[in-house]
Amino acid sequence: MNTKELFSPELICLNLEVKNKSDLFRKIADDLNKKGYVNAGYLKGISQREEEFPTGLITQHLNIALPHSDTQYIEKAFIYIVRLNEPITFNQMGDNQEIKVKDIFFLGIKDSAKQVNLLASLMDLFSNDEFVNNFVEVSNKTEMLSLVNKNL
Amino acid sequence: MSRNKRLIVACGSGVATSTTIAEKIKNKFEADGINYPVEAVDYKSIENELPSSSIYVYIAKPDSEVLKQAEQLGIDVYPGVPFLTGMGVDDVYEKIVKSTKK
Repeated sequence: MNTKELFSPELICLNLEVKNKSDLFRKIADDLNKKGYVNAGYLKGISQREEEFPTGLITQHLNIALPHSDTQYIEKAFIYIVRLNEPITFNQMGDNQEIKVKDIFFLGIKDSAKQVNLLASLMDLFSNDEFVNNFVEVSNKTEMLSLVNKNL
Repeated sequence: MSRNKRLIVACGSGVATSTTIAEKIKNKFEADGINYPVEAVDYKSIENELPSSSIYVYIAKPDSEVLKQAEQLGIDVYPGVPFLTGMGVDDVYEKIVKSTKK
């Protein structure tokens, strides 16, 4: 599956207000469940996995997080782009240190063999100065979708 | 010593991270003409994987038991996240290359 097909205007939210990580996970899990992308176990799946194996990352220009669950909770593969109004605390992958994150990509991976390039392509984007400059400026869904489609 | 030469990359679920990083290391080895086996493994089975490895690249933070086992086995341990973010990757890669020549 092409990474581009995983994005959708209904899965972009650029001004989300949340209290903390569990509030964020609950809101996104609800929305994904209503739209048919995940099953009822997803919220628990994603929360436990993040607890055990955190996904925050300090990239060159931007702190991001890539929460994902085991494949059994995913009905239809997706990437959900979320930008928070205020940063919240995540832990960094690898060393568990606390970092502040505003930009989050929920990865709905259904078949890891087919989607193995997904992470590599996403990470390439975040080491690309021009992409990151545009990414932080984008303020609506249509622009965001065309930006990721243009760069992937 | 007839140590088994093998570099393992371990992440939480084997969904994507360890495979991605293993591929990056493989490509770099290939470009530098280094012939060394690289494999992605699941962190849950790390204790069974360590005895047949010589270099361990971690993504999921290893707990102290695992680190102790690695030390006893004489395995070199390195962080894998730099291969994902590009931050500090040259430094880590250089150390890994040195390890492969042991």
